[in-house]
Amino acid sequence: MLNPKTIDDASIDQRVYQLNLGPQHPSTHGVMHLLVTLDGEVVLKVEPVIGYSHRGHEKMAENRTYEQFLPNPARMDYLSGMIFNHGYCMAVEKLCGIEVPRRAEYIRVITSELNRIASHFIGAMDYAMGLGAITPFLWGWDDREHILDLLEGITSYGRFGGVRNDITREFYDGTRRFIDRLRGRFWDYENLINQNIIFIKRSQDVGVITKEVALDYGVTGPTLRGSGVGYDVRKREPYSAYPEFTFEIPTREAGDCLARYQVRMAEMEQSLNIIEQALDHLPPGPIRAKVPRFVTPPEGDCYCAFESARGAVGFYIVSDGSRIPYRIKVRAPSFSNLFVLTEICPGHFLADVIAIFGSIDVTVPEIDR
Amino acid sequence: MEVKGNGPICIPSRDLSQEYVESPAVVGFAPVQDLLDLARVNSLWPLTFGIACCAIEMMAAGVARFDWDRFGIIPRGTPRQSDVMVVAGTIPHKLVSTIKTLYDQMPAPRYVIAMGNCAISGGPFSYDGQYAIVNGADKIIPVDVYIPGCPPRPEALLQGFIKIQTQITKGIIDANRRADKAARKHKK
Amino acid sequence: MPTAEPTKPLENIRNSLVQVIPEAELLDRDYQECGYHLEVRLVMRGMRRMAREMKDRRFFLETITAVDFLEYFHLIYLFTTYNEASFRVMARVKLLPEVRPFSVWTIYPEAIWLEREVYDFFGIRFEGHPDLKRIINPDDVDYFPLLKNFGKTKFTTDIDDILC
Repeated sequence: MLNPKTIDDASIDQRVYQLNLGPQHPSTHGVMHLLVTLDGEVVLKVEPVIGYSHRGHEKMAENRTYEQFLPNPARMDYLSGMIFNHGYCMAVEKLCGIEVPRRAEYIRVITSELNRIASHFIGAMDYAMGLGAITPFLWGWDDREHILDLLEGITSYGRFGGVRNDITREFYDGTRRFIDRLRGRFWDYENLINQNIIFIKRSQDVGVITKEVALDYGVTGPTLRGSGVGYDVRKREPYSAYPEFTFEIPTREAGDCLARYQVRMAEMEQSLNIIEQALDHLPPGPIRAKVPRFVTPPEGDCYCAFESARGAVGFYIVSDGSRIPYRIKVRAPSFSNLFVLTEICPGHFLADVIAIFGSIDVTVPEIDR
Repeated sequence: MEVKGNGPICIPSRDLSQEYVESPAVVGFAPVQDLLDLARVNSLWPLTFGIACCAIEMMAAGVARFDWDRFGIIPRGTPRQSDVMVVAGTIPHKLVSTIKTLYDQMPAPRYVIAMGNCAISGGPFSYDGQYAIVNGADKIIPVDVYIPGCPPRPEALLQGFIKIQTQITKGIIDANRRADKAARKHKK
Repeated sequence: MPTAEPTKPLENIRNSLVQVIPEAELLDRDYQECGYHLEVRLVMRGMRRMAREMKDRRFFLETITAVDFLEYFHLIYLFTTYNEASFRVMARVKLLPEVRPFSVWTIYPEAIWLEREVYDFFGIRFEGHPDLKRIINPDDVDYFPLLKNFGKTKFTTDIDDILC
């Protein structure tokens, strides 16, 4: 039968075979292993196999003080490392009741949004490369290098109570120049990619995630906003300095790969707005609150949600009153977003599986922690 | 491979040179072999095997700003067409058989670069009580060049490639000599 | 930091949960302090009814996790809504060693992977799960890493001995 949707539909003399996509494959972003059951070129079943990047972060948290665990969140999702760092500091501060100075919140928001733009460059352009477009990949990574130059200048990672370094004059001027430059570059990307007939044909109506499927599987982030649900933790549960900025949450209704790509590009523009507003209204003041050398939260638990480039992240910290956490659980958005693949891939061609996987924009070590 | 409870878990390092035999020279004449080595180093094709965070720096070394293509480095997707394997990232136990298989599939002469602290010795994830990772790539396969850093800069990866070039040509191409020459020219 | 106020329609969550699982204990929590609005303490038997009620109310299952307290576990379910006003509900189930929890995958398919992860790290078996096997650790290992008496944690070694 043509286009069988399930394994049962495939006729008996048809050879249904399993293909190992990964763990080493040029287009699996990280070590991802997909067991694809194929009937010719049509996919019947996709089963992701994970665990190839498991480093034991949650066990490590039970062997480290809160400060010693600081490098770890950034290595979970390395593409939005500063956002995770921001979120972890926020979680511990929430548990301890530490008040962060306003200038530090602004600096955290600026670095987080720059990180979000850098991550979306990788997400959107790696998706384009999965379809075969090499030029946007090179352009996107070059623009990303400008962001990394800026962030390298200050390296203002969060610490409990604030940030480590203050903004320098160079960073301020460089960011202003970068914002103007990037606004001009968006036209280049649009001209190159958005009208390309191959890109549109391969992305439209491919891998549609409906609202029902999204609710079943707990999808968040640009993957969800491409299906018409405007859920963004920065607006629903405002944290840090986000309530003071005006920005929109772009959504698209279609739910296919093209919609998710367009959401990412639109989000980059919104992040630029946030950075501009933050630089315009940067308040003076201290950049770090007074915090004891070894942070000792009171007994209890706390769940802190924030929005990374991939979706809604949550840190669930259980404390027993000592310097070492009792349990830290990280809710990774890529874990839920990846599982949706089993639902939406069957019925597509094998090449579409690569496209769908790229459009969901998954970071594998975040899944495995 | 047994993995049990407490204590650092790592495969005991063994003398890997016994297992992997040095490939003999292609041709008997030394000058021809030197020429072949020179040709080989200027087109080192790595296997794209980025595991974790260091993979992003490896990709950054490949794109427009740092551009490893000017050294003749073209990443290949399959081990059967590649010369060098860049192990970039932490190695959990589930990946050990994969790495061994990939290394076995590479045709000789083959080289391995361990990129990043995790591939050298477990990196920031190695502590007494770690159950999940292998403390370094050289516990599984023989490594030629170690590039420290967490993650190392893309320029460090390029220097690592030049170091392999030094090793292959036995000193004819020498990273230190290149740096000295550039410094002298700059001083003038 | 401004708080996310639950609106009137979501106040009904509390009432409907009281109706659906009368034996559960409902606690209002301060969102600013702990990040969730409502805590529901119940036994495993009421979990399926609660999950069905949450699904009907268009909440999504954010995560399932467990905390090991040596003599018992706490199984934690977190539900959040996509709606205009945010509202997070945490369900806490105290699991004694002889109690076997059952799976909620028929209501939330995402639970297939979430429960596999809890099994992989804690050894808690879920009844009714279609495919309960290891997901992150290699398939042939015989330990459950996040248990307190595995490897090095504060309970197995002195606190100053741990910091390395």
